Amino acid sequence: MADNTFRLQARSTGDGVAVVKALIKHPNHNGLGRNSDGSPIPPHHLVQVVVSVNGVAALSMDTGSGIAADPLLGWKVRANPGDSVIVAWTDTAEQSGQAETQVA
Amino acid sequence: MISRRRLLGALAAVVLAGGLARRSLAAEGRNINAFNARSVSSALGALEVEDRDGGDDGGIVIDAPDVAENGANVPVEITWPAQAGIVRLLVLGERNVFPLLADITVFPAALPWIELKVKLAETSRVRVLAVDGQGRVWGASRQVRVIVGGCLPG
Repeated sequence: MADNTFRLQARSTGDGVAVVKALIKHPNHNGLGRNSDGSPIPPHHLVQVVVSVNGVAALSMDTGSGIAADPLLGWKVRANPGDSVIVAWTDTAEQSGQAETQVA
Repeated sequence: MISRRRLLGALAAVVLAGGLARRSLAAEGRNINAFNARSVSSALGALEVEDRDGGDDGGIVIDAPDVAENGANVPVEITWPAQAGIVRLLVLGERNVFPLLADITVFPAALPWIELKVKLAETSRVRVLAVDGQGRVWGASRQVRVIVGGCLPG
């Protein structure tokens, strides 16, 4: 999926700490919903989100269908200004997305 | 100037390390049975994590609205004591059709705060179970009143 569906920000709060926020555009259908014509909407949701700093994983989230659509996710990591932060996701349709930013 | 051999060697090491890192992440694997489970107890059974409800919450704090107008998008913040050595967090919506919302592995580069947006089907508790490096489990919960349920859109 295109990277313009994904916004990522990493801000240093000093003391070697950065707050990472990701806004991932994703419908996160849980398979229980129906279209207006009554046909079921198949499940389609994120299954994993991994946050890494300078190539080392900081958190790895396995997710179920109960994550909100277009979720805002946030984490605190050990990182200094200029460090590389990557957030990568995969979903039930084996689609994936990734965004990288530098800690500001 | 770097010799061609040293450059190739360095490149090979990078590629190999990347492959190993990816494999170790994939090897943990997402527990499909736990995410498809329709009760908290069966989800925890599939994960082989003991339930811990009530008693000492280990300092875990769940911040969520007391009243959520829209259950489709409920902000949840979780903090826990940095010295507790927490390596894993389970986030559950007690009365959701599929209660297990997230199974989070915490590595040393993470600090003890996360924020996420979840769906809640109806008024219920959001529960968090935190597991430390010795396999000890702590549990915390927070009641959220849901006005419009968030699991059956349309």
